[in-house]
Amino acid sequence: MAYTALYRTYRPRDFDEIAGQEHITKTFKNALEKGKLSHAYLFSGPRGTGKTSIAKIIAKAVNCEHAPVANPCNQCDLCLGIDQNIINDVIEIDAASNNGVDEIRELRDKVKYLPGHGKYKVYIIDEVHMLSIGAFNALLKTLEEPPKHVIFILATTEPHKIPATIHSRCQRFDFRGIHTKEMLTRLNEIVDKESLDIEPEALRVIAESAEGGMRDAISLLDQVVSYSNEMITVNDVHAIQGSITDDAMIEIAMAIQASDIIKAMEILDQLLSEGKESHRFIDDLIVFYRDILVVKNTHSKEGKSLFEKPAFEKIMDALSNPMVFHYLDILNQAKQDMRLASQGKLYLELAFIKMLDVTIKQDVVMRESMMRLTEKVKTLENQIENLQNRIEAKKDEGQNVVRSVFDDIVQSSPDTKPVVNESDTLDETEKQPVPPQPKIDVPKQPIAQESPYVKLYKKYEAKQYRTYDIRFVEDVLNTGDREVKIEMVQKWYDIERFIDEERANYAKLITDGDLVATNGAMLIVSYDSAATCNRLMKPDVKRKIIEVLEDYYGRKMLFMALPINVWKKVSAEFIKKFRAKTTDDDFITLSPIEDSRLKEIPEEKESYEDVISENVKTAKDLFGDIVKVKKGD
Amino acid sequence: MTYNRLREAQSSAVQIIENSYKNQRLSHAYIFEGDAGTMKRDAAIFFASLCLCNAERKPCGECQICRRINHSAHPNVYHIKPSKKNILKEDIRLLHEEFSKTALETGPKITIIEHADRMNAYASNALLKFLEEPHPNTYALLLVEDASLLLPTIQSRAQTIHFHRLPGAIIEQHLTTTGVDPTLAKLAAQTTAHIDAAENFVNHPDLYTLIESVNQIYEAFLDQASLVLLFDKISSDLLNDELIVELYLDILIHYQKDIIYGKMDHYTKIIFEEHQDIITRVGAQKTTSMLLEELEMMMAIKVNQKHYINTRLAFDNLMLALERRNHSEE
Repeated sequence: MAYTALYRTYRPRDFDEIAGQEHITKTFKNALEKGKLSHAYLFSGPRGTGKTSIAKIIAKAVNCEHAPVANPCNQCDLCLGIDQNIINDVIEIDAASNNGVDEIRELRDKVKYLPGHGKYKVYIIDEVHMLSIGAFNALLKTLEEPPKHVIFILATTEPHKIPATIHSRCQRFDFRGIHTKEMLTRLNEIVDKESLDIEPEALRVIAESAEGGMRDAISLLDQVVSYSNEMITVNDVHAIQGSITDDAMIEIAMAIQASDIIKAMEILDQLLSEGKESHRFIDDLIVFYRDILVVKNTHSKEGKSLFEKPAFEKIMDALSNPMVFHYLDILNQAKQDMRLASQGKLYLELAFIKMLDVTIKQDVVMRESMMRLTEKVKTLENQIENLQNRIEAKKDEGQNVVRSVFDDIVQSSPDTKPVVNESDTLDETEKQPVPPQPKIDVPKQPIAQESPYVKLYKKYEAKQYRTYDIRFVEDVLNTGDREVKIEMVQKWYDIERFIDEERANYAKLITDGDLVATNGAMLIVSYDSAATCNRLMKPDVKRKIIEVLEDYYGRKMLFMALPINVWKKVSAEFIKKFRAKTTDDDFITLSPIEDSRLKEIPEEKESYEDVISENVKTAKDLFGDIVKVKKGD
Repeated sequence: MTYNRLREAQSSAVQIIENSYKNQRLSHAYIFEGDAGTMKRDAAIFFASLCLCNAERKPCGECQICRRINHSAHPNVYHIKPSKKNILKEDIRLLHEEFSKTALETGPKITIIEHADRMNAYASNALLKFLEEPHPNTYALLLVEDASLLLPTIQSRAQTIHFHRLPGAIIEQHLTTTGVDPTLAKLAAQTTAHIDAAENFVNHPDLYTLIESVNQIYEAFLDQASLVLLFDKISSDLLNDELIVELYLDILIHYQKDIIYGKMDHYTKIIFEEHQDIITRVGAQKTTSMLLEELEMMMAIKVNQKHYINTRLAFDNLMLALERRNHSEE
């Protein structure tokens, strides 16, 4: 007799031989034993998961001479007959080639005849998704109320193509891909029965590459057996599949990591000359890096033997997520391009060069370290906040404790310093631990609820500040609110987008600077040049800016522009004094701002008294309203 | 017909088939997967002859049976080809019918389906059952360039045998032994995996002029001349013939690749060794990412050229890109 493929020889003959799918076999065993079988089933699932096999086992079990039984006996005439396809009560229909209405009509006509041998007629309709719409509809009525002696089993790989009306008339069973472990058990049984010589590792590679399809695995085993003469090795499996061995893969990954182009190209050339296909190669590489990503982030090493290799771990540890994404982007792009072009090798080389290129890699590393930096800053900020809360809590217990805790913060973060120096984008205040606010009478609230800030605003608006008044700075710093600042800074650069076009240039002016300090009602913004500050502090400009900020943040605030160098000086002084102060309630005073480039700009009044000189003011104080000022020409 | 060349080029595929036959483990269905020109059809005929030939050393390739198979005249060997664009369900139905009858001559029946990926959905699904429960003593051979284009259910029912492209080294060696210039041999081996195509490639009458004109482009770049104007001059000879455009692009692509390899100090991979001086000097004036970008442009033109793009415009665009240089390194 001619040779039959292994997967046909080893088609499971009862439920116990089925690999995996326990949720299904158990259900059916119980149903069969209790005689509670439904009249229609729909089996769906990927190829090689046992749909047709289970359907045939059910057909045997219901017709078995010993019925009701959980498993067919496989010994009685009926069981054997069904196995050999000679009992015409079990009707296997290939819906793919009999997909028309006529075929289904014929089926419908014959359904009413009683079974010839057993108790049931079992219709197994394979690839049922190929039926035409007309055929499906013709089947509907029969499926809804078939004669007592009929069981329908519909099997398909594409359940979504089946009309809902069919779905609702069947009990649906979803078949899962078979797990590598279950597959290995089954493969081992076959290997034992066939008495084959095969490396356990090779068997494992077979199981892994089958991706859940038992038939694929057995087919591959069959093929490997035909290919190799004696002992079957891992290399045989890879040779047949045209896939790349784990070791070669690791070697390539190492070369890419080290940006060793000569080595990488050598391996590439060698593999290609061994007959590996470039599109296969790319697929394998993508899977490899995907595996790295998964294992790296889930820390579970189950699944593939590759994961346990020390070299794999080494590569994994050296690669960061963004770098793997970078590689995967390149490979995916190459895979896509390859589809259209005939010269796959060229794209593969191109992808390799891109992955090996040091400058591109550096970009990725840069971006990545930036990300890490921001993260670090964030955790630092959280730490400081926690400490702040602790300070709050311990406030009553004595000032000394507070001081020592705060000193601790300053000293405990030395490791951030070198990192911070690398980046210029972080603003000055972020570098220094922001001092805790002594007067936290401001409850932590979103900006929208403005009452505390309005109070603050009213309080400070009354003070008549000079243009670059150090008192302004003192007030802001002493009442500074970090949370508000962070919140405002986050929205800072969006000002431009939200302000109407007319005032867009003001918005641009504002965002040219950095918001460096605020207490919610007053803000200090630093600019590169003193000239800009002078321009911004002109009353009419300043008014506009305050207006823009009011529209944007939803409340009125006082505004001061300071050149960055002046700000640095002032803030350094503040921090120094803050550390030196003895009690929390101290109000820190600073030395006045001195910079020859900054001009004091006289405040304008909107009334006719545009300029009220100091003398006029004294006069008014003395004589009250009767003082009249005449404007000189 | 002898099968020496097949044995040489696709040794592992032949080994699988021969071993399976010897051990009587031939599967009922095979997928022969491999690019065009990888001798899949030869292998299919080899398979059929192996099963049917009566000579002592099978397949002899000389007996009457073998010769008839070779000329598609043996009644036991059933060929299916896409009649128009696709293979239709009707074709598969005929196959079913044909195979349900007993064979006219002794021995197994073999069906060879060429371009199996061009079966439409109905045909593929109809074939499924044929593969699942085949008639005894029949074999199906599916010839396809990419097995993943077949239904997964077909794939899992058949054994896939992989036909790999001829390694470049073999082609290169073959060409150099016949007295071809080593540079050209290398270039040909890079551009094609067909021995015949490679021979055609090196024998192309315009090859030398084309290489020279590519070289001119890069020389002009070094002289800071306008590449667009230069290309304008040579374009009239170039763009009229699609084959020449393709050849030109192939040369350009490999020249550009040489520059990249030169920049990465990987000199052994360089094809145009005699122009190494130009290659290193061009490389010094560009960044790797610029070079890669340009190379991608060239490859894109090559792919799109078949889709009726404005070739002239694409080339002008490319030339403009090639004119860029990295000013910081000057």
